[in-house]
Amino acid sequence: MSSLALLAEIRQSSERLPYEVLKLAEPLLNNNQLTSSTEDAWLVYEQVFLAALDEGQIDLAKSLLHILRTRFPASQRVKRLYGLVNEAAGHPDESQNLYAEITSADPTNVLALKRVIALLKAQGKLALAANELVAYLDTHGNDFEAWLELSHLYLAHHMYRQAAFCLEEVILQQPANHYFHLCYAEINYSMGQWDIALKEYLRVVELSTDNVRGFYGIKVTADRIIEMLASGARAGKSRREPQALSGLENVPQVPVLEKLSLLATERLVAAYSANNAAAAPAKALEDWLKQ
Amino acid sequence: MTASNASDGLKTVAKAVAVVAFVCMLHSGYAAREFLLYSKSIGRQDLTLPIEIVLECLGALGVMIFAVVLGVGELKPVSYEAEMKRYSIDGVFSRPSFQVYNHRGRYLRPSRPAEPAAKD
Repeated sequence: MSSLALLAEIRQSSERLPYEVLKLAEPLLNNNQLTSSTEDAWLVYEQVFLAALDEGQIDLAKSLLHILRTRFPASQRVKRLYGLVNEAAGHPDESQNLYAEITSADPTNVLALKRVIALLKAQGKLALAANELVAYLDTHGNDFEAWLELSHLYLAHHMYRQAAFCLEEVILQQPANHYFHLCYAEINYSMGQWDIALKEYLRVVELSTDNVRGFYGIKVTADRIIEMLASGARAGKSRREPQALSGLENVPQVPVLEKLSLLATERLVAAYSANNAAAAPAKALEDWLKQ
Repeated sequence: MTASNASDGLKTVAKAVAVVAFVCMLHSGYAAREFLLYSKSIGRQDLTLPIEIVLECLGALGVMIFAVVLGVGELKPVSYEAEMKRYSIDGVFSRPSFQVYNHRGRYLRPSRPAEPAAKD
């Protein structure tokens, strides 16, 4: 595959691989292969620019930004990149002024609004960033990326209930993406909402094939619920009153839970033996499953 | 290499077949028009098209559908799961608009893998 195609793939997956991007782009830049006739040339320039900032190569970033600026002199998107250079070079105040300038000229510039929030995050003012993000989401409620960011800001403060709410919004917009269901399940597990966690883990393995993290979740959650029900039954018997257990309102019957746990065990063993995984982790896994 | 050459050859053949089938369709349309004009001029009452013209048109259409499908580029799997396989969990949770740049990246690899391009 050509390096341009690889770069496009990295761009589309939105993974942050600055070192790989720079390595792929180096021959293109040195041989002047990136001309305006190349497909997506300007997107590649922006991508390499961001990778250079991530790697701390400010000079390279500035030379690329100069090229972009000469091509798009009036672009707000390029203007925002100047703010990024200042952020990477350690001048957050200048970036802030620039973003304020962009947003006062065009209050609907979503990218600049998000940068303001990211800048607060970069300065460590997470609570302030969360407040700003809530205000931003008031007007841009269909921005799933922002909901995801807010969810992670809440997670940084261990505010699981709020984080779960944000992920619910994300799932509403992308219901078929199993990674969001997985994260939602894990947050619910952390909160002790076993019933929702189990349901969401099951959704994860429904939406993907042999998702190991999902099956681990099913096994852990199902075993946990069985354990809680057993101890709850004991407590109820001794006290002669059914004890209301939070997070266990809508769980399936114990036989079903046992079957789920067994199924997860089977699939985990199959997944690890199919991939020719190293013997030691597979052995550790089997020991853990047999507990 | 040979596999891609073989599929390239197949694609060229399929495209040629599609063009021929398209010409056949045009021909059947022309024949139908000629038939109707002729029928009217000799005052024939029954204006249904003869079976050869209909068969030519439908046959050419069927061949063209297959040839076009074979002749286009690679088809992608249609399921959402196959699409999701291309994305990793890091990519899905990366949130590019909120990335911060005052991180330790500049100290990780000071050797500089890429130098600034020699551009004016």
